[in-house]
Amino acid sequence: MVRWFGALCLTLLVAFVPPSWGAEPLKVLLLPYTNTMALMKLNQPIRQALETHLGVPVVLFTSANFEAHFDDIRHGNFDVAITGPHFGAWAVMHGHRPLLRYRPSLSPLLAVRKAGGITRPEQLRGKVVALSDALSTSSLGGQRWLAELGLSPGRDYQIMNSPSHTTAIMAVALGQADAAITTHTPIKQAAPEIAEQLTLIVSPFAMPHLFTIANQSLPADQAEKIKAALQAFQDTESGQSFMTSTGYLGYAELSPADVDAMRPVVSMLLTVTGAPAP
Amino acid sequence: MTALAETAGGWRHSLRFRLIVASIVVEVVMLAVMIGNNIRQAGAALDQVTATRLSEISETFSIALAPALAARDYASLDSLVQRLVSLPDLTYLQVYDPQAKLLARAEQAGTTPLDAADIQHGTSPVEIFGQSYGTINYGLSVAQVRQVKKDLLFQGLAIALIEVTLTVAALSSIAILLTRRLENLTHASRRFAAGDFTTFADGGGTDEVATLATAFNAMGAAVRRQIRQLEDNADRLGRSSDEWKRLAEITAHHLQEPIRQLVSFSQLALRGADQDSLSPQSRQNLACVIDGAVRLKRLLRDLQTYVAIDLDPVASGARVDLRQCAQAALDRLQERLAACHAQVRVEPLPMLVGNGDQLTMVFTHLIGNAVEHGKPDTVPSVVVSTRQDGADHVTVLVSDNGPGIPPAFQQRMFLLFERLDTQGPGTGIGLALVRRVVEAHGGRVWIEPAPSDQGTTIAMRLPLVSRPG
Repeated sequence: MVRWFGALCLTLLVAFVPPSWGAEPLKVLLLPYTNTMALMKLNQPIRQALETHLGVPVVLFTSANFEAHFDDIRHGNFDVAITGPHFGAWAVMHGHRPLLRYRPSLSPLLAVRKAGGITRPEQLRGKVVALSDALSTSSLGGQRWLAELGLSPGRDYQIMNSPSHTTAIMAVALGQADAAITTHTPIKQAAPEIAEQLTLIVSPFAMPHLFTIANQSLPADQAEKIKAALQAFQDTESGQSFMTSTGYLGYAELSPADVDAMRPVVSMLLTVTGAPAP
Repeated sequence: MTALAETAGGWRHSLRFRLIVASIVVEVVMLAVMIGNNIRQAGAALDQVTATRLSEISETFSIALAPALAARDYASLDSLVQRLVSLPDLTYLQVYDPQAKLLARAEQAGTTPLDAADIQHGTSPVEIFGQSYGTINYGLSVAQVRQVKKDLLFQGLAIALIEVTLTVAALSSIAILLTRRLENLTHASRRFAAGDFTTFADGGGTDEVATLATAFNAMGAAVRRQIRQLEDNADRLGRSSDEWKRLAEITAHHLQEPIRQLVSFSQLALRGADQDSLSPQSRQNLACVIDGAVRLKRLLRDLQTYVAIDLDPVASGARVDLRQCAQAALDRLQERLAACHAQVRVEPLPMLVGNGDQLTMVFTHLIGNAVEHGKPDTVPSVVVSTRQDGADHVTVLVSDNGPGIPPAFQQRMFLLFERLDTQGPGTGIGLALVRRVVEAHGGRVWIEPAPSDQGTTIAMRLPLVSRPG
């Protein structure tokens, strides 16, 4: 009888005590596609949702730039990473756990001034093109798009490197650059007075949106709980507001096909960074 | 006068001193309260400024450093720390990660090392939207704040010192101006008290002191008027008294002659007449005339003596031996004393200042009265003695073994023309003359109370040294 009662107590304890990673918070690494403060502010709903669902403190981190971010991915400096699809694909290829991706597809595009007279990519010849970062999905995909149109950087157009997508977009709005290679998300998240000055030339390429992955060192069940928490989050009022305002629209399963779709870009990434191929 | 001098002489008891001390005490207390309150409020304000500055630093540094910490951009973090520590009031800045690992540090360079008390240490988390990315420790220089507090205290004390000094100077000037007139009034009062009734107090102005001076001058004027009136009255009384005395003396002198003629011719008529020419009744009547004339003559003589007391004032400063006076009186009364075998004992008597002739006359009257009014069939006995009456006076007692004086008559006996034995040879002037002489010497005379039939003791209290009044 006593033995049964003890077992019952243990069962209840296990059932009702929230899962815990101990004293260490859950570290969520963010892709630094905009400035850190904006990035932190934007992802607060996710942090709060994870803390609520998992019962552990969650700390958002980012990297100084895309190169440092890729270093963090390669060195596994994260528990969860919301990263570019090419970085995420590289991570999954290297054993990290795929969780989810944002539902929209990611298409490189050119952001140009409305009155700038540029309506086609071919008109960029001799112009200045701002890049968020040489390692960003949009930069790699956009340069691939322009290359297929016969435009080579340095020869047909000048590249102006910017620390983030937002800076690249603002450079166009301020007249410092003629176009910026970016994606829909930064345009969606840009200040209205900036966004309304721009018009978009969208590439025909479509890639998966940002990947959410878990470190391979994280137990599978905990990774599943994180995934479940994120899926639950998108159904909440806060989550729906987040998805709408960011343009992420919601989560989709991160499939092997998504990883495979990024392989050309990962190759470009490895070429640019000189990192070893998977 | 003595009290006035003592009061005016003590600086610590003066109105000026008390006024200044009281004012300074009040001012020092008020200044202490005011300065203390100002410093307290200024200190609280400065502490609030410091607290606000600490809060600003925490917030600003958190905003500045959090992105670099969140992005683990330690190069940017170090650059920011080096830049932030150059703020003028910052002495050092240290950044730690959540595991307390030092990530960046910098210290203010090229400045004078501060005392430990001049640095306020602070620590605050570096947070973004409630997430802590580390901790900053920093030192805020509060040397300027402390210097401001010191300056405030110094300035407050300096201002207080200057204010107290100015107050002392102002109050001293006011007090001098005020009390100088009071001192003038005091000096005038002293001169007035010393007899200078022409003193005039210069009050000046229209204030209370001036009113007091005016009142003093009015009092002086009134006193001068009273003195003039008294002097006038004294002159009139003096002239009147002198005239009366001269009149009395002249009258007594000129009445002596007709009385002597009356006595002489009446006696001649009585002796020259035959036994038959005058009836016995006429002879008796003529004898009565002679007796009355003789009594009148003696009355005039005594009255002349009585009046002469004022014309022969007590010699000032002349010392008189009372025993000699008593002895001179006995010499005058020698025959009368011998006739009735009277026993007179004179005990030692003191010396005093007075008129020897008048005092001799006093003893003559008193001893003569005692012998004259003795008991029938009793040998008169008279004792002249003294009784010490303080250091300055002596009471001379003349006692007899006579029938005594009834108490009802004792007060009246010293009045002029009052006599207990109206059939005797006395004139009723003797004891009045004694009283007048004793009073002229500054003394008084009375009859000592004694049981009836125990004799009479006349007591005279006389000053030994000088005449009072």
